[in-house]
Amino acid sequence: MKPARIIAGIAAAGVLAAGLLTMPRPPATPTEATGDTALGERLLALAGDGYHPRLSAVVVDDVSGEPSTRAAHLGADDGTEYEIGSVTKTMTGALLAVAVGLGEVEEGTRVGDLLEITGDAGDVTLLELATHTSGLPRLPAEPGLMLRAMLAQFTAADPYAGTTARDVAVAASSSSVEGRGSYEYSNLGAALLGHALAAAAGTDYGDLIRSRLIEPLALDATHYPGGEVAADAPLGFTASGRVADAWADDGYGPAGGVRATAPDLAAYAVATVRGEAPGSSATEPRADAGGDQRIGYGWHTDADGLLWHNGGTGGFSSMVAYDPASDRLAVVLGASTASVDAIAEGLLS
Amino acid sequence: MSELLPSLIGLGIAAGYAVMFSLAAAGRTKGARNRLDGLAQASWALFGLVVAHRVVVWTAVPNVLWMLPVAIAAAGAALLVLRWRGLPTLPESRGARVAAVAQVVVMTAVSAALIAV
Repeated sequence: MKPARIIAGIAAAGVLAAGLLTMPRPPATPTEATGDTALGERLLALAGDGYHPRLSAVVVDDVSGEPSTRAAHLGADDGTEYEIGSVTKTMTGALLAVAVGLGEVEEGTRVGDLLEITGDAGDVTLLELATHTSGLPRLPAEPGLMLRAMLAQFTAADPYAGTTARDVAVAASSSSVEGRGSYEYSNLGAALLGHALAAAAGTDYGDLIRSRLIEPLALDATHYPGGEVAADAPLGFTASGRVADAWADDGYGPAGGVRATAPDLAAYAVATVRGEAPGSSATEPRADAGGDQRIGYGWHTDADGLLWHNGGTGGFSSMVAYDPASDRLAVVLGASTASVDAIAEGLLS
Repeated sequence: MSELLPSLIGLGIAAGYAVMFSLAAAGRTKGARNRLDGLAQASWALFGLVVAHRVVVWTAVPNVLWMLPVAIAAAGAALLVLRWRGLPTLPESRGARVAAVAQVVVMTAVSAALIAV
């Protein structure tokens, strides 16, 4: 055989071998559930064709009476840690309620009195931040952040990586405040609220949430990374099955940075609904949130009284919902960007 | 369904670049009349594969489909090797040389960056 043909064969084989080695191999959705048998079967049915490489659900019945808790998992267990995403905002809301109770701040306290913020954003109140009625945008119109957010769809990186409380204050200072008093969901506002409350308490957000919420509730499997996660921390997956970077920044952490297990998040939610958690009054609706929705300090309430918040990061999805009619609470956490809202709703019905 | 269409588009892009590379490497187009042009076509094929690897929702389509554009690109690589000795190294015009070098450098760099992130 001519040397050129041999080399050509080697080249083709090399490309094929490289293709085989790099073939995408996303982890599949588990087909067997662990934990409570009935709940596990229900979870499998509700997960359907969605991409859920790890999925945990906790259902609590008789929440306001004598709570009975069931948990089931797909590819996970009671100790599996998830990013809870924007459910963190309910915790930041609870911290506002605690701070008001302590007299550190009032609902009408200007955020500019707590953080170095210039411009219109300085006049925004803590109540407006907690109820998404501040007029601040969802995210600041910073070209760098917008570019990172856009690229993150492609790279599965944390678009907020490296941001700090100071960055959030600077971003707010340069943001326009439009439609103040009307509901517009704002991650920037929620992040600002967390750092403002920390400033009022003379500490940082990580210490604040740990000392005033996580430790009092003995949520041993809940923590706020505030900058970096452990090297062995579980990571989630994008919709395409790629491993996504952890979202562990401190800047926008108060809007979505907490990591927790499903049982821990359920314990927090049950204690909140029962009025036993610090800052439980955060659930009380205080403003309109569009449609039939009302909003408290972070918590949404629909016309039927359903109390809920969902969340999503680069590799995780979450949903916490409490139905007062059935007195049932559901927590669903997934390790992919596939929404788990419908699963939680299904578990409540 | 919403994930299927972009996935098929991503696979189509990869297969398209691989086919163009293979045709050029086989001398069926004007794409590879010299070695540098062949490398430029190969760099586009690499780019298409990397894009497909990143944008295709591999949980929505069978991952074995990945090997389709890979196999076409492998055929292109073999064809280019077979023609390699008979090809001049560089294009005749300076402009074509600059364009081909630019394609190789840019597409390889972009592909490497996408692989790295």
